[in-house]
Amino acid sequence: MKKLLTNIVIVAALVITVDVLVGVVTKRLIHDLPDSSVLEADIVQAMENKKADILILGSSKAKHSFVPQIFTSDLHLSAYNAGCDGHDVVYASLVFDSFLQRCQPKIVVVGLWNSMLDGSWRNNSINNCKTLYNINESYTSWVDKHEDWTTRMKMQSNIYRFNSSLVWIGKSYNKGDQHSDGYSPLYEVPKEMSDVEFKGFKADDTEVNQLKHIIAQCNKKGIKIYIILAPDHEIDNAMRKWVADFCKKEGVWFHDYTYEKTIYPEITNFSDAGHLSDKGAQLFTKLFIANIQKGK
Amino acid sequence: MAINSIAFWIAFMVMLLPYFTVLRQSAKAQNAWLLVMSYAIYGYADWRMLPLLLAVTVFYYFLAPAIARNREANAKRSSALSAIGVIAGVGVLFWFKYLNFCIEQFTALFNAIGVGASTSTMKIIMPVGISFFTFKLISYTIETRKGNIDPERNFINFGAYVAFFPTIMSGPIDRPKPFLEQLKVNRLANSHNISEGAKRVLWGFFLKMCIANRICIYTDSVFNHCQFHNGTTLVVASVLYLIQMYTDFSGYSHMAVGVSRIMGIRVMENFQQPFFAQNVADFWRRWHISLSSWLRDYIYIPLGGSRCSEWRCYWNNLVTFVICGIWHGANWTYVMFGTWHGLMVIVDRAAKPLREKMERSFSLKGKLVYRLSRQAITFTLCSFGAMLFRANSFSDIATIMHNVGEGFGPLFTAGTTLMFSVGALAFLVMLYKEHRDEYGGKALFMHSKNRAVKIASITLAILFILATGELENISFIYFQF
Repeated sequence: MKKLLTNIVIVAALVITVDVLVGVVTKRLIHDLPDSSVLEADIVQAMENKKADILILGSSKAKHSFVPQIFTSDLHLSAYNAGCDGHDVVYASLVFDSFLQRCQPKIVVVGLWNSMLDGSWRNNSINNCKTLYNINESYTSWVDKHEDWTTRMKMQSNIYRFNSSLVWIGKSYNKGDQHSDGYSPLYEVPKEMSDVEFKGFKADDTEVNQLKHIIAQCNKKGIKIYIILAPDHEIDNAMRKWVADFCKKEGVWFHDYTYEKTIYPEITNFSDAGHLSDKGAQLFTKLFIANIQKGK
Repeated sequence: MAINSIAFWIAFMVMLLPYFTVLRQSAKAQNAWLLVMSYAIYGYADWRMLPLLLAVTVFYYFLAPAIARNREANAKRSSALSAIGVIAGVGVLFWFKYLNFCIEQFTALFNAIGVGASTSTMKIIMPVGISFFTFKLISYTIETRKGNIDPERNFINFGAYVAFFPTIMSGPIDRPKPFLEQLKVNRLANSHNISEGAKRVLWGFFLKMCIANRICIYTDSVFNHCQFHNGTTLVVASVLYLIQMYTDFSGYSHMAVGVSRIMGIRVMENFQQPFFAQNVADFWRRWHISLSSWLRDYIYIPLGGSRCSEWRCYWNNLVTFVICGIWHGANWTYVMFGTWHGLMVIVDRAAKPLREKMERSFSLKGKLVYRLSRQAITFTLCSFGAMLFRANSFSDIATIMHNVGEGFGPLFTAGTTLMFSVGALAFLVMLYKEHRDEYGGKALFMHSKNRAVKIASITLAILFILATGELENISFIYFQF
C-alpha cells in the first residue's frame, strides 16, 4: 500500500508540474496572439485587444453582414465587427464589458437571431472562451457567478482550460499577423434559395437579462445602441415579434431588415439562407449607415 | 450522476473513506453503506426515480423466497411465481420504455387505414438504467426458479446488488450468484485491486474522451443532417459510429469494472476485443457480453437454441436478435439493428459448410490474410448495423441508403482535421492494446514491471486525456437505455 501511495503522489506531482508549465507557456502564447481568421483567436482579440468607435455584436449573421471599412469611410469612425459564429447574447455582453474596460465606443450595433436569445448557444460561449479564465476579468467573473461548481473547479486546471487550444493557437501563429477588423466576407452564392421557417421561439431569461445589461450600460455611458435583424431567408416570426416588442418596451432603436426590399429578393446578396454574401453585406452596411444618418 | 463527472468522483472518494476504514471489519456495514451511496448517486439526477427502484427491489426480494419454497414441493406454483416475476419485470420495462411508442404506432396505424384515432401519450419519465436493473431482476428470478441460487435473505445485500452504483446506469448486467457471494465477506483496501481498478478507469476515460467524444462531434453532425451528405461521408460516418459505440460503451464498462475493483468487487467483463471477431456471431460473443449472454441463457436456449432443426435454429436466432434490438429502445431503427444482426448470424450459419469446405480446399485456416479478410467483412457488416442503430428514424435510414446509392463525393471533414488526427492516434493506441490483449504479449506501459515506465505511462495517459480529450460531459450512448 505504501508503494501505491508513493506512486500516486509521484504521478500527481508530475501532472501538477506539467499543468503549471502549460499555464505559463500558453498564457504567454495567448498574450502575443496575432490577428487571424481562426474563430478562437478572433474571440481572444475581441475580448482582449481590439478598440474601436463602433462595436458590432452578434452571431455569424452580424459577422457576415457588417463591413467595418464602410463605417470608417462613411462615418469617419473606426469600427470592429465582434460577431462570432454560434455565439449568444451572453458572449456579446462579455465582449461589450471587456471593450468598456479598454475604451468607450460611440456606437454599438447588436444583430440578433433566435439562437442568440433562446439559450441554445450558451455552452459555445462558455467553452470557447475558457482559455480566458483568469485572464479576462469579465469572463472570469461570469464563470464565477453563473457556472456550477464543477465548471469552476475544472477551470482551476491550466491543461483543462487550454485543452485542444494548441491546435488553434498554432493555426493562428501560422496564419501570420494579418490585421483584422472582424468582418468575414462570404463570396459563394447559391443557385437557388427558399425561405427556411423556424418555430417555437422562447427567449431565455439569462440572455434577455444580458441584453438589458448592454442597453443599460449604453444608456448610462451615453453610447448609441442600434438593434437590428439582418436580411434573412431564415424566418422566425415569433422571434421577430418578440425583439420588436422588447425594443419598444426598452425604448431602443430597432429595425427589422429581414424582408428588406433592396436586398432580400436578390439571390446574389446571400451566401446561404442565413448569411449575406460580401455583395449583400456591402449593400446592407451602406443602407444601415444611411438609415441611422437619417435617424430612421 | 454520470461516472465521468466530477460529482461522481467526489462522491466515490467520500464513499471509499469510511468503506475502507471504520466499516472495513464488517461486510454488513460495508454493504449498508454501499446501498446508501448507490441510492444517493442514482437519485442525484432525479430523486423521482428512487421509489420505483425501491419498489421493484422489495417486490423481488419477497418473491424469490416464495419461488424457492415451492421449488421442490409445488413446482407448478414455483413456475407460476417465477413467471409473475418475469412478467412484472417486462411489464415495468414496457410501461416506462415502450408504452408511449406503442400508443403512437397504433394511432398512426389506425389513421393510415382510415380509422380516425387521436390518443394522447402520457408523460412518463424513463428511469435511467431501467433496462439494466430489470434484466438483473429477471435473471435473479429465473436463477432462483432453476435452483442455481438460493434467495438472498439479507435485504441490504439484495438492494446493493440491484442498485450497485457503478453498474446500475449502463451495466454490465451482473448475474446474481457471483455478485451476491462477494458481498458475504468484508473487502479490505488492497493495493493491487486499487492499482488495477484505477488503470481500468484511466483506460475507460481514454476511450471515452479521446476517441468516442471526438468522433461524436463528427457523427452527430453527419447523422443529424444526413440528407445533406454524400455516400462517402455517410459510409465513413457509419464506420466511425461503430468505433464510437465501442469506445463509448467499453469506456463506460472499463470505468464501471475499475470502480468496482477498487472497492474489492469483481463485476462481469462486457467486451472482449470485438473488432477481432471472425463473424457476426463471434462479434456478439465479444460485444456487450453481459447482455448477449443474458439473451443466450434466458431467450435463445429456452427457445431451443441450436439443438433443434436448422430452420428452427434460424428462427431462434432471429427472435433473440430482434429482442436484443428492441431492448435498446422504442424505435424501429433498433428493431432493424437487431434484425440485421440476426440475419447476418443466420447467413453465416447457413454458409458454414461451404466456408469450411473452402477452408479445407485452399488450406485457408490460420492464414493471416484470410483471418484479416474475415475480420474486415465482420467489421463492415457491423458498421452497417451501427448505421441502423444511429439513424434518427426509419426515414433517415432510407435517406442514407438513397444517398449512398447516388454515389460518392468529397468527404465532409467539418474543419476538424487536426483534432481528428489526434483521435485517430488514440484509436491506433487502442487497437495496439486490443491486439496485445487478443494475441498476447509482454506487459507493457501501464502494466510494465518497471516502476519508472509504469509511472511515466500513467502520467502521460492522464496528460494526453487532459490535453487532447473532448472533456465536456457528453453523455454515454447507453445511458438512454
